[in-house]
Amino acid sequence: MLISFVTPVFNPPPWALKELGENLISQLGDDCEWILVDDGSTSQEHHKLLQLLNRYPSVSVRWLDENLGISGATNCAIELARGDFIAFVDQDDLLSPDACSVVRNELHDQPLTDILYSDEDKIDDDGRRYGRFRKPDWSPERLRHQNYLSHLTVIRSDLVRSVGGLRSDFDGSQDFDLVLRCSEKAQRVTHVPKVLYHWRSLSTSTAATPEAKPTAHVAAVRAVQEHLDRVGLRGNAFLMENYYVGVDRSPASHPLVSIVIPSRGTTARISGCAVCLVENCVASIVELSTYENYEIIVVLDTDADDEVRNRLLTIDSRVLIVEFDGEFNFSRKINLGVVKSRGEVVIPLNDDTQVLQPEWIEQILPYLEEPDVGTVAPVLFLEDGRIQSAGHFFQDGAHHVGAGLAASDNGPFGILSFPAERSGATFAAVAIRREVYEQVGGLSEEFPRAFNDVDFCNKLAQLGFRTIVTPKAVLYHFESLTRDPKVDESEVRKLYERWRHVITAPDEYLPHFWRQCYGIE
Amino acid sequence: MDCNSSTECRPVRPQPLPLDREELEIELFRSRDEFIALRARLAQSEIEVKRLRESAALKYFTSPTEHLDYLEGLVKDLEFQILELKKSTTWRIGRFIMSPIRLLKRG
Repeated sequence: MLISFVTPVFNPPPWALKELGENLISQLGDDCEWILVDDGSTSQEHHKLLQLLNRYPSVSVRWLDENLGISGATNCAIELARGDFIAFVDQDDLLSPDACSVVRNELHDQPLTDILYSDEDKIDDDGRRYGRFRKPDWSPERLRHQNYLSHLTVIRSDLVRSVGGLRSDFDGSQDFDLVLRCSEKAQRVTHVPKVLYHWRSLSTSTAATPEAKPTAHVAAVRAVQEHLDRVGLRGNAFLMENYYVGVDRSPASHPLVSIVIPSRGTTARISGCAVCLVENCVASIVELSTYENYEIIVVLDTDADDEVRNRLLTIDSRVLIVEFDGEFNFSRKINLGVVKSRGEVVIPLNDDTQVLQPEWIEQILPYLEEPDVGTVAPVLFLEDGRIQSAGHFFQDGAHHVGAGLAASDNGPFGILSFPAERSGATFAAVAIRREVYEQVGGLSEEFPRAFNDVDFCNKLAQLGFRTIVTPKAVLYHFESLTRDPKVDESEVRKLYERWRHVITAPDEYLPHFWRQCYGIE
Repeated sequence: MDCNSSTECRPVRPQPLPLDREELEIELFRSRDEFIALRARLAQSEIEVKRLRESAALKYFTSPTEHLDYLEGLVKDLEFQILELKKSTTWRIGRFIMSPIRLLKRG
């Protein structure tokens, strides 16, 4: 197997190119080559350096007579490359000393890989490294909002050539456009959770400041829009304030949605007022939701007050009450509600939630149209406006993403500002296709009070489904107002019996989330 | 026996018990959940076996340690339990009644 590192060169800072040369030459061998293409540079300071590099056996340099742009020059390098894989390296960046060997070994261990990407960090003018980006494992939804693959990306040569290489129309975000097109055909995308690339932070580069290349962002939005059109997803891409790409999506159909609410009919104080939680929840759905094709199944304890029953039934004709008699078991209640329901989509909802925005269901449904998406969840807020949960991540146990953060907090690398994959989501509010719910055996009654959602999402993952959390759908969750927040040790034990290997390993989608939140590296 | 007069009796065919579809669905949930849980435990055991094999102390042994023997036995036990579960009536009814398990992620 041969790996071809390709580098387009245009008026580089000679000292930076020299450092890259020393860095990469030391790693080249029989299985790695380096192709540089000078894209009609007007400066000659680096000319001698390129001539010197060209003498090395594993290095080829070509000089273009005219400037073709970064895509044109890179495509020339790709034409010259003899490798099975193409690795993209910018002229002023650096690789880790073991980048070649790590990539080679990983491709050897994962032979079906079509795209490989590593973690990266930044390096300043003084050579100090900072801003380590611990990337998620393959996350196609996240990729629609952020080119998180970035550097170091290695793509199978045949795949690059089959999509026609890079496109000059997208210069500035030509790499983003390329990975989107390649990912649509890739059989396997492999993540190496190790920093193999140091992105040099110059004032003219987007590594230092995203405002440095405004045209790049316009190109990024176009790249995402074309990607959506190619894969048949209804959506309109736009540039967000934080320079990531937002996508407005709408559902292709309007299936019957069954909202299942388990309740004991209890009363609690919200904003200083005593309210019946389930009535408050149901009323907020009926009064605010713009989506009309739903039914509400309230699974109510038989010893709940009759007044609660009567008032619920008068709120809306789409409310159905299912009696539940027995010891408290959240999983059993939800399963019973799902069995009694008719919808193609089921939304388990805690009675201590409250709808915040009218189009919450319309914001969730589009993601369920993708066949490998098992669950979609909104972001939940506490009464004081802080985030209660933006999904689950694992770090020696299961935890809520973003718990306690302000609503305006975008999270590390903007992760809270756009829809993305998560390891799981709380069943306080979540949407699932009925057929998927049935396939995984519903919620496990082995977890009557806690961790049933963690278990459920792990069952989904085991069958190859993704969980998406979208900040475009939001609800209040007045957490644990109705039940004892203490956790039963037997449920903890059962969780570890089933999923120790998952919840003690670094999280797939938000590795070391707390460290990234607090900037600890 | 069904006797509609003092002199005439006919044998009566036993009536089937009414099936509660909802109870059956709940039972199917439990079976599927149990099966997936077993698979999860099997995956954990396989990871543990792999971890032990990869540790330097075990790489050069020609025969596994008692702990490795135990873990491999556990893996075999779990595989056996999975096979038994798949032979059970509940599982077979489930596969008949519920939608066939297609890989939904392929659409």
